[in-house]
Amino acid sequence: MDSETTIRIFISVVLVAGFVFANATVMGYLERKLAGHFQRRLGPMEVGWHGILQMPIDGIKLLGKRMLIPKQAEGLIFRLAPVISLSPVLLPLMVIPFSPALQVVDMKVGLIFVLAIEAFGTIAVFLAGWSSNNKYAMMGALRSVAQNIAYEIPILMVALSVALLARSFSLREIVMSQAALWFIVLQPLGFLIYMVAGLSECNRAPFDLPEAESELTAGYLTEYSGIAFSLFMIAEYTHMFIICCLATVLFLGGWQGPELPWAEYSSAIWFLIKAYGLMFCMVWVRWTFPRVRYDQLMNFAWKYLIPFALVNLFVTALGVYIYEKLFS
Amino acid sequence: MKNYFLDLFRGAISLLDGMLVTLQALFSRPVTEQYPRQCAELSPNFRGCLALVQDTEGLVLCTACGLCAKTCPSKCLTVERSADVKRKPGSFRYDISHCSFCGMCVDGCPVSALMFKPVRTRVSTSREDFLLELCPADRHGGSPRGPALKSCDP
Repeated sequence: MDSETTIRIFISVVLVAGFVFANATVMGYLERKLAGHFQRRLGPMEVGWHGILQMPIDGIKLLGKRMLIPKQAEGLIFRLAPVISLSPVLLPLMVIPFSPALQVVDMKVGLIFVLAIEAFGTIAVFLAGWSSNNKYAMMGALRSVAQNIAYEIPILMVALSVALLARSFSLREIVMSQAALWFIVLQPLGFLIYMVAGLSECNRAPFDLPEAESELTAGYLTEYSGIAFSLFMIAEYTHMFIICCLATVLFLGGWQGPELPWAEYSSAIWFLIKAYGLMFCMVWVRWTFPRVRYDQLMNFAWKYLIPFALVNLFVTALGVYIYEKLFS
Repeated sequence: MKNYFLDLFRGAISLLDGMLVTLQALFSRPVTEQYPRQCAELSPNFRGCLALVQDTEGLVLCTACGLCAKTCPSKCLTVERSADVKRKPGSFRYDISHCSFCGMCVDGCPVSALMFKPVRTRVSTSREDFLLELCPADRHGGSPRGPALKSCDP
């Protein structure tokens, strides 16, 4: 590895890490603000102009708190779980093409890489739940694993449909192949399935059963306090961001948009607008729908999402086959 | 099979319906009143503080019979007759910190000389500030009088 690549990777890791924390701060604030306005409240108003400094203050407060470790807990794994939950969320951001020039590495199997790394989150949740030695935490962890197994399947099948259309697993090439037509037009059902399963993937309401407050106090987070808790929260917001980034890449044409000066870099604006638009929809859904029951959650995945994703995949494959027979 | 698709369709419609409701809420004015800086309008029958009813000349209607003090379950009223004027209170002390705002004094008054005024909760750091003299000594009129208390009423 030459020194230029090393420097490039070092700088991008720093940038990505900074972005992860900035994203968590912004999203935390936006979520609370939007939650307020969706319920005709105001949200945070006291710290700074319209409560804009609320999240940094909360972060400082959490840093100042002691991290309590229950006596009966598995100490090492209990400490390790928040780190395991946060560290893999940095990796997918390395392969996501924010703009033609703003991509750290373009992997040939970028799509599979992102989905594989995303699944690490479940392991962290399970370790956290198991090591807490707490019934609520354990139940939350079990739910999370079952839920993620069920909802990973439709995501993979929909991603496969898109890969069939783009004839590539590289995220950059998927974006480039949407220059003429965004895949949301060809795959409206796929987009819907992806977003529903994506909501469930990042354990957000109405699929937030692993941390259902009314049933499990806080699920796998029950025993966590201080900085460990905030690491989990940062990981959750980053998960959300990655799911939305992937949706932007797969369906909404990535960085494509009206031409801007210095398009190599500035087209990242279009990418971020699309990704944060999807994040807004996620927040919107969260503050609209009540949490689903556990059997409803499982039924929805196995009875609706997976059959529809299968049909979608089959129709896409057939369409691509016929298209190629006719036009080549 | 027909029901399967029908359920899905109906479910999707009702979900969109719900999303529309929250979207309308997002774009309508928040109903929050930020308390120390803003105050919501009080209802006219809000039980904020007890007051003596006055006639057009500013005289209190109270005859100092003392029924209110007897019926008060919290024993927060002390009525003393005036030494010089007949059937008028000389002092009408009201301990608002003990008052439960039940309204039995208002209901029980034979001459309807008591009422509740819609004023906001009083805040003070000293206990004495909650001892109010409702009846000024010079004239048998006036409104709740006491040390100046913090209130956000303009």
